[in-house]
Amino acid sequence: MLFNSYQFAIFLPIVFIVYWIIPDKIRWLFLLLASYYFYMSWNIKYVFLILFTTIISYLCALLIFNSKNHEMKKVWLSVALVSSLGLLFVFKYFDFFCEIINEMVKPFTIPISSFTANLVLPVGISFYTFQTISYVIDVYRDNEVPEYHFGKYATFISFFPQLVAGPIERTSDLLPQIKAKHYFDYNKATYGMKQISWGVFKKVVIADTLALFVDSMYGDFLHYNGMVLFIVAVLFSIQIYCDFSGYSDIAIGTAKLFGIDLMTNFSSPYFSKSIKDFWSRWHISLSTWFRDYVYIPLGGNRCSKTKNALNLFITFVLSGLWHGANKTFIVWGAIHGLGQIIEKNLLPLQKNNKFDMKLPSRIMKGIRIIVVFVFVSFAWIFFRADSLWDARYIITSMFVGIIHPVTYVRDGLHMAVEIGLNSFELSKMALYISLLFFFDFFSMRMDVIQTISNQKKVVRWGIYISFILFVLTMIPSGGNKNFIYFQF
Amino acid sequence: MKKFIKNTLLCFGIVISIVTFYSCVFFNFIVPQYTNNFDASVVNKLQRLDKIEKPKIVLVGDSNVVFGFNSDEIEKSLDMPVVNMGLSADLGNAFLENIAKSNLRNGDYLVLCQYYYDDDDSILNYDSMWATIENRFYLWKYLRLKDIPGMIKALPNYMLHATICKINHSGDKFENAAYSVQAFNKFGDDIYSRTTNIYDINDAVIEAPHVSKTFISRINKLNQYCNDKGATLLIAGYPIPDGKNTPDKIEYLDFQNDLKSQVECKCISDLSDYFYDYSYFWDTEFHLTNSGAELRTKQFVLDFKRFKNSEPIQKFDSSK
Repeated sequence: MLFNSYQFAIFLPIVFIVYWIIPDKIRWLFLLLASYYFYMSWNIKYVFLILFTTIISYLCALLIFNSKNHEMKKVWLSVALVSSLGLLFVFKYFDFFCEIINEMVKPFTIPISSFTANLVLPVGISFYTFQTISYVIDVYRDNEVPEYHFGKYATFISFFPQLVAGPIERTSDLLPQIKAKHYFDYNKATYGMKQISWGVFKKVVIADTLALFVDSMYGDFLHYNGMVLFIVAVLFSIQIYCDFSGYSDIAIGTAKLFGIDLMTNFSSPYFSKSIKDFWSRWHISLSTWFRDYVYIPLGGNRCSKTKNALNLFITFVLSGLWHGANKTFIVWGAIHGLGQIIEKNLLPLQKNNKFDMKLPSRIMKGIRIIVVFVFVSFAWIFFRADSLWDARYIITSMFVGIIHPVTYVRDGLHMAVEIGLNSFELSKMALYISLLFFFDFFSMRMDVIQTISNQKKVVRWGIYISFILFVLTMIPSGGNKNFIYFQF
Repeated sequence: MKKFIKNTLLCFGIVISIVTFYSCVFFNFIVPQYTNNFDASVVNKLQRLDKIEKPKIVLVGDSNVVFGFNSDEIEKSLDMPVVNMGLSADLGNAFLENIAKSNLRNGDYLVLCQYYYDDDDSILNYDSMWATIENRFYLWKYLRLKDIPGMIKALPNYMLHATICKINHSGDKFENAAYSVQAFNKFGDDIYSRTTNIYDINDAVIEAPHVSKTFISRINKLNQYCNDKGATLLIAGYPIPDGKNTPDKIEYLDFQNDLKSQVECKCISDLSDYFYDYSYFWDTEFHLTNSGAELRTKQFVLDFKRFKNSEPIQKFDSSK
């Protein structure tokens, strides 16, 4: 069930009320049953996959911990990694792997029949697989003691708010909270409700509205060129941010209702002043996962410059591949990897004042933020396009007519109207983006939700009710759109 | 926790009260705002449908029906009253069929002339549906239970736009006179002057039709309903642009055979008689010019007479 569905609107209050009524001793069991019910609502037969992954990682962690010699620890670690990643490979990458093999042998006219498994990707598999892997590796590294209680461990893996699209939680953060005794915290619960509301606004109002125009253009991009492609690229940047961070806000807010704190997954990413800064603010749970379990084991930055560049590149390519079995995701990851490598090499030049433009620091910050946003939006084109050919076409067509700026803008606006971006829709979008901008801007300095909560009762209730009415009024009437990151 | 539940319920209670209060004001004082648009013609069409006591022919379908018939000519040729119940395809086939069976009586003919036969039984555009039914509560009964969630979801958007129209006095403004309610005659045909083709069908993507199980199931239930009322359900042809973008005719014949083998009502047309040159289409690949509508009307009359007299297929010869 989607977070923005009637079924979830019924499911959540029931689970919430029952959770706080039942004795604390059995709350973990109720959460486990609720989480499996939540997962089964997507596809009942794939519940065996998450169960299998949970059992294997649980057993392997115990075996690692209880093994006397290092070699046996490695064996059990390998078993856990191969089984988890193997499942992920079969369901997510097998067809892509076959396609690549076929392309490689084609020039040699080796007769290989093209076989594809055509398996439906189980929702959330990339997320819970990484969560189990981080648990097993942490036990192997002696950073964590394995959990002996299978039920509580299974609850940690399947905890429904973060099960299907993260945040990817670390053992040290979430597992103790699952095991701890909880008392109802009014302030935490109300904070959670407000965070859910903000997440719903970002997803249902902003992301789903922008999706109407983005999907319209990407579905028929051969008919468009010029400025409209640039506009839609920017709109997609905002759409994917609102979609994914909206989901994360709903997940984090929902967890708070149960007295559980999940990690922050987004921190005003479009105010980043560098690509490195962007990755410390975007999908934080994934970027830190890759840092701790891929980048650092490869050597991180404690090696030669060349090796470090290679480590960065590999990490980002793998991150791209994690997002999907398509060359476009690999290229997207590679672009970010290359961007970071280049940025890292430019940093010493900047520190030596080679690029000192003698502008006030605020203006320099603004320029950096815009440059990073443009870079990220450019990379998103590959993320959104169905193929490399499509992405290349869109990028090259974006600049058609740019040497005649007046015509470029005029034709761009005309085409924008064709996909539905008339003055009314543009005004709505300007309002949404302004709200988003101010919220994210002030979030860097304060906790906006807490600040509102600290106001006088009349003021804050006025804000709550106005906001709910505003969201209800602005919901686009197209059908419920899936969260973008559910496809990963 | 009691305080949390109490405050949450209070907050939602206030929101619901405001929404309910505004809804009462809205449905009583702000709407209807779209009394002049294309689908507002449903009011007159329904009135005609309910008024006719004699056995009648009811033409059912999307805008290809509105822009594709001369109902006066059909009345004269077949000596039966005709009601053109064509409306926008946005409202969904199910709604179009549902509303057309109002006042169905013994001896009536319900003739389906849709363009799409593979629908999923849903309303295509809930905003258009709201703009059609507005606060005409007698039209709400033609919605089904399964339509309600989509209608609720689209309601805030409709209320927002209608309120803006009320403030700007722009509800009854229309850009294209062909799509205003004034373009309709008493039969329900759109009689706006459409002398020449103004749309390049070479830009259109024309797909061969397909049949869905959902459509077949619904039509067979409708057929049963008609039989119970002593009426007859028929399926007739729709205009197909004949040119380089058009799929092979064999695909249409395959579709026709597939349809005939599954529906329990009679298909009175041969789709090969409904291919018209691009020049007979007006502003889309669905809407005919005036002369195109005449051709199609004559073919339909032939088909209907053949059905009534159980005669073999006769193609309408436009040269005679």
